[in-house]
Amino acid sequence: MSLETITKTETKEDTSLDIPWRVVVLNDPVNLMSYVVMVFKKVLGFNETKATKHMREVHELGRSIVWSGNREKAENFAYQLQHWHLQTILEKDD
Amino acid sequence: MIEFRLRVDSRITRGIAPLIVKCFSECRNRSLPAFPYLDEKDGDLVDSWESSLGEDFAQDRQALARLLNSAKFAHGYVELDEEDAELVLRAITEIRMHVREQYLGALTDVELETGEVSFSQKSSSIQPFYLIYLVLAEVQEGLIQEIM
Repeated sequence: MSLETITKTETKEDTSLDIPWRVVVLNDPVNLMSYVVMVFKKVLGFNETKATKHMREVHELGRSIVWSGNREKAENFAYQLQHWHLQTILEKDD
Repeated sequence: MIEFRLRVDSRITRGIAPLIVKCFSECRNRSLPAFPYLDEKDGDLVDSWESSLGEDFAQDRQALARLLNSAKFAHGYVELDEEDAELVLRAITEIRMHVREQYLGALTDVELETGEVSFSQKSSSIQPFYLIYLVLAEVQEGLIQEIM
């Protein structure tokens, strides 16, 4: 087995063990646009432009994937977003 | 200390202040948000998540109670410690969601999002709750401007 093969195999196994999760925010008719932008900036560390882009996506498309990555961090973001009363779900990033 | 005056006639804030307190009290019985894993079967994990959120929401409500108990609030003044600002923002969101769910069912999402509501044509049972919804949004806008 060549070094290249080993590296490829290891990479594949590592990836399968750490399936990314998506943090998805759903639209609601109550929250102010300025509130949603502020929450995205505070919780996810977005700048104004990125926060506004995701807020518009939520508003116009009904949902926005605001983060993707390991389960523990995804859970942490989902908890904070729910604490701010944003409708949030977690999905496997298949 | 954060201080600002609402751009709302103080007769309105005086009129709806008791109703805001009523809605605030009702929020304690509001259901918690759905657990974010849609197919999660681990009951302990769900219980732990909900219990933590419940405690955090209760803490937010305590900060809002301090604002609502202030004599100035009914006269249209918002005065609170800076450290309470985020908690109050969240607790107000909870009340606005409760008001929307319980008292503003006759209004469409589009009416609420655009603010295009013909107020005088709405029934007297809806009008005060719609005012609460708007005044609390005004408090939120003011707070967001203060903290961002």
